[in-house]
Amino acid sequence: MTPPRAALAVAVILALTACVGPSRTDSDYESKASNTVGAAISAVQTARVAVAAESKGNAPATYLSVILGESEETLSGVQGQFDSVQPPSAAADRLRTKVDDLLTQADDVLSQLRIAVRRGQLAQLPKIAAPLVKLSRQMDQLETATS
Amino acid sequence: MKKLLGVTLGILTAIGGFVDIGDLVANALVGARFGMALAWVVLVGVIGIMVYGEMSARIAAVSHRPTFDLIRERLGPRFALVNLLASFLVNMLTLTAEIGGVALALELATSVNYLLWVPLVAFLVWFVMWRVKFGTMENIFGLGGLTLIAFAVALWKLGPDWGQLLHQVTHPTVPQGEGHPTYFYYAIALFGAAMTPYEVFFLSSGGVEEKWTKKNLTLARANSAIGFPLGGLLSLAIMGCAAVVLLPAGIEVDSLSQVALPGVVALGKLGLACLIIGMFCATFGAALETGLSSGYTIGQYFGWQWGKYVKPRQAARFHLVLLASVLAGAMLVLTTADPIKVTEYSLVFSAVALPLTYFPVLIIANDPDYMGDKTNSRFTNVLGLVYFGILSVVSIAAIPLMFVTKAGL
Repeated sequence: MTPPRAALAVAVILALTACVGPSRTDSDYESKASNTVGAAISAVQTARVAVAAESKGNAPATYLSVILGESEETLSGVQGQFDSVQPPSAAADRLRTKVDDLLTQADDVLSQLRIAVRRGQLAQLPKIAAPLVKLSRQMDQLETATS
Repeated sequence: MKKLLGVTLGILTAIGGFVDIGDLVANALVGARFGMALAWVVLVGVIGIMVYGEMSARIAAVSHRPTFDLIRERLGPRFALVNLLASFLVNMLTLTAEIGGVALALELATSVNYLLWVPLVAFLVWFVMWRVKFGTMENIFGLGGLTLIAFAVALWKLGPDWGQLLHQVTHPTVPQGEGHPTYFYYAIALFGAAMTPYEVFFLSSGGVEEKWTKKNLTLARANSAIGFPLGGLLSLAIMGCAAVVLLPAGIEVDSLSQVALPGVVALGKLGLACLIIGMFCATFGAALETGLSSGYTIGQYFGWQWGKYVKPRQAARFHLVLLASVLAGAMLVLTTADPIKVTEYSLVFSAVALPLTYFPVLIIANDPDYMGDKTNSRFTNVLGLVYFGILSVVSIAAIPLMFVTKAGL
């Protein structure tokens, strides 16, 4: 294989493995929803563990700013990717709304956490993060239901 | 006493130098998804790198010539060119990941976006390669990387159920919700992290740069036999921390900040400071090694003057390759390609290229024309062949598994 062909092959592989494909069936859409919710749970839980560490005085603000910013970015990213998938039926529409509602609520909380950290309002973090407990549980249930 | 100090320093450097961005990401990622169920791969990888690391060091000490120089002479320019292309591409991907890793470590310390650090990191990597002596460079970043021992302290402080962790190590099973293809895909990534090809180029070329002779073989063997296993333990500590903190919380690792999270939970701000220093030194040291390896492979294939032991003016083409490689790596990171994803892909492509890197080492280490009476023993050959079989299987399986699992989803 010549160097340009090898480079092209690498680029194609990277592109193919990184893209979100279309969904033709409900079960495929559910599987995508499950993966999305799983990634969102990871972002939410990351924020919860980080905030818990801060409340014990273990995490500096610079680190919190990075980890909470990344969690928010991850969540927004997976939500955007999921929303770009065409739902194949009315049932998939309902699932899309359910997933979107939960992810939007979680994203709002993560945004507030990021803003509070960057304003130095560290004492308020546990209060702001409180809704994540319920949201995380709801996401867990949704992930179980769709997997 | 001076000799003992030299051995100790070498071992400490080998421990610190064993871990790079690939090990940090792969071990944390695997620990968070599979617990300790893939710990056996680290063990297999460490034995493999010990076997081939010793062979490479012996080749350099006995023949006074690095592996790549000999590949072309022994196996012909065509085979060596295929080897060069595969190794160079994988090495570039690894260099890119390491530059991204340094920038991410600086972001953790400052909360300044990593992309803003990339130009400075690239300049520093190039400057250190150009100006700083080989031994100084190796010792500073190897010893700095030792602060990653904070992962082991964190694991102890977290007070896990040691019996359960040990059970996961000795009775590996695929966790519920994970498929066998995904399990083996990550096994390959972990294996690729332990046996990254640049380690061989760097070890053999470094031996020539430091003018090793047969007298240095004991030191080189001590570094491989003690330093690599202890480095492997450090990898297991990273995996253990992720298994204890991230796995139960349902956290999947996709950033360096998450890799450090168990250390923050267990050790607080001091622990985080140690981890950031360790991550910076480990990734910076590996960026130097991969950057130099780019120059070594190309310079040795084309028969140019190469190395840090001659003045830059005398090895201008070698230094030009170093500069171009660092620039290309930095530019790739600046495209905003996620450095963690680049790391994951670099590990899998490393695994694909493994046989091409290690096969020539096995051939040359058995050639009495180059090795005199220091050719492989029967025991080393058996181990070498067994590992070559493993490397071949891993290489063939890597790409299909990447497609089947959608890159580990």
